[in-house]
Amino acid sequence: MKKVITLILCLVLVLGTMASAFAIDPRDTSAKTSLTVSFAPEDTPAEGVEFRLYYVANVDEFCNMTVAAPFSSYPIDLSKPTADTYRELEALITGYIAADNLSANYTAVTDENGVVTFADIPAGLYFVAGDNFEANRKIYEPTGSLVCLPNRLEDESWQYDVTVNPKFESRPDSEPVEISVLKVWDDNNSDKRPESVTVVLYENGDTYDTVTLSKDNNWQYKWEGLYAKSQWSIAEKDIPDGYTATYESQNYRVVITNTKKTTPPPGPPDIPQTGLLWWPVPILAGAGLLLFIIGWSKNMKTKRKNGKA
Amino acid sequence: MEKLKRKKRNSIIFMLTGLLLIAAALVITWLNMWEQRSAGVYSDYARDKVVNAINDEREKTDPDDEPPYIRNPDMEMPVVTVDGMDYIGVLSVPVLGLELPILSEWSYPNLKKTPCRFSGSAYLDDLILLGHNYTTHFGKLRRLKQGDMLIFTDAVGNKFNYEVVDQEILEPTMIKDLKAGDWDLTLFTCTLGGRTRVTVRCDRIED
Repeated sequence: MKKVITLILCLVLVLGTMASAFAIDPRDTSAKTSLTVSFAPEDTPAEGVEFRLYYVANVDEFCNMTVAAPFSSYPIDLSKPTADTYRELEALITGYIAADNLSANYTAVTDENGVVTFADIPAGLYFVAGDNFEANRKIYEPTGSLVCLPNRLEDESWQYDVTVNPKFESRPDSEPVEISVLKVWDDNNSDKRPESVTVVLYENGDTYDTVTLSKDNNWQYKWEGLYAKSQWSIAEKDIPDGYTATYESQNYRVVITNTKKTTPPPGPPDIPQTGLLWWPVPILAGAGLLLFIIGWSKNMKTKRKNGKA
Repeated sequence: MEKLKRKKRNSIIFMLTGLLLIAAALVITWLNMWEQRSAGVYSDYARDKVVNAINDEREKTDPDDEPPYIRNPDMEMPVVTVDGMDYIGVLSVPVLGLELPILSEWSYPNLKKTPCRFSGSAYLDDLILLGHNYTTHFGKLRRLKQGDMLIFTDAVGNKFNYEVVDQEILEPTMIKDLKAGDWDLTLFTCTLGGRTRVTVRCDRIED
């Protein structure tokens, strides 16, 4: 009996320790949050660069996120927030902002240190986008990034004033830009797949060109000789009914995947017939030969009998 | 005398019927040979045009650029269009002396022109091709042995090398078996009798 009680006590102790280890302290919902963007690519403070904040999701006191309007109308899944899913979401949100010309919630310009602070803004998940910065005969283009306010640190504490150093891509300011777009279908080869889709190229948020992707151009297109100093983005217009669009982008190679949940169309019930009609040949030839020989031998017999008569 | 005449008439009927059946066999043989030859002529003609179109596509692309299928194997296989028909590339089987254009979608009328894609993609390593058993198409598949090489060139000039690893005979109803297995490339055609399918399984090999 003593052993059982000891065992139960140990179990309670272990479970209690585990529970406290996994417990999340709720954030202070009354605390003010701020976001500071510090942009100094290759140690050059980027002065006069406009940064924009888009409010993507509400964050509750336990860090659970709920996508907020207007982003709630897009297929944005925040249930597994990992570095990889964040990277995919960043490309996705860049595409949605361009396609639907979404307005930023906050806009501000960096000071001479390349720093800008958005103070007293509500807690939430933000998408940070910025303009290009020219220096050292290069163009530094900030890549959009997602930032959560407040931020949960590794020691499980909450950081209410967050500073980010935006990631960026750089290129020589004299080299024209090349952008390619590829359409991928994830629809089990649906027979309702449209014949074509329309893709728009934006220069600093304004429409620059519209192309049609179809089987005729193998669902891909490449723009060449684009002005290096502009910021270029791509989005699909009029996404076909029942499909969702997701974007991936790397070094100006954009992949737009249109997804639709469908069951694959039924294939043929049997393996197709791929043969020539050869089987009747030996049968016909054999039967014909047999009949001819029978007829011939009968004829010979008749002739012999006729001769005797 | 009357009996002998009847016997003679019967023997002539037998001989004539026999000759008629032999003639029917010859007609079918001639039609098959004609169909086989026409298919060969058409696929040779289409192959030359497809190869030219592929070379044109290859010239358009920068050889230093990574082909998009490497990062996006789910992408559609590109096609080149010749006479209104879409081709996904050209299959070479050096050991059989074959070089055949491959139509993107199969149908019975398409199969009379040239072999077709049954399903899958070279990018996803699950490509299945089918062809008629014309000697000018897939009729010699059964001669392939383990280790024989095949080369598939897609519509933009990417080359995929394969090695024959297995050959099996499938019943027409074994469609699940046709698609089963982790084969990078499968080719199939009817056996001569038309009742079963010669199926050649291949694995992709590096250059």
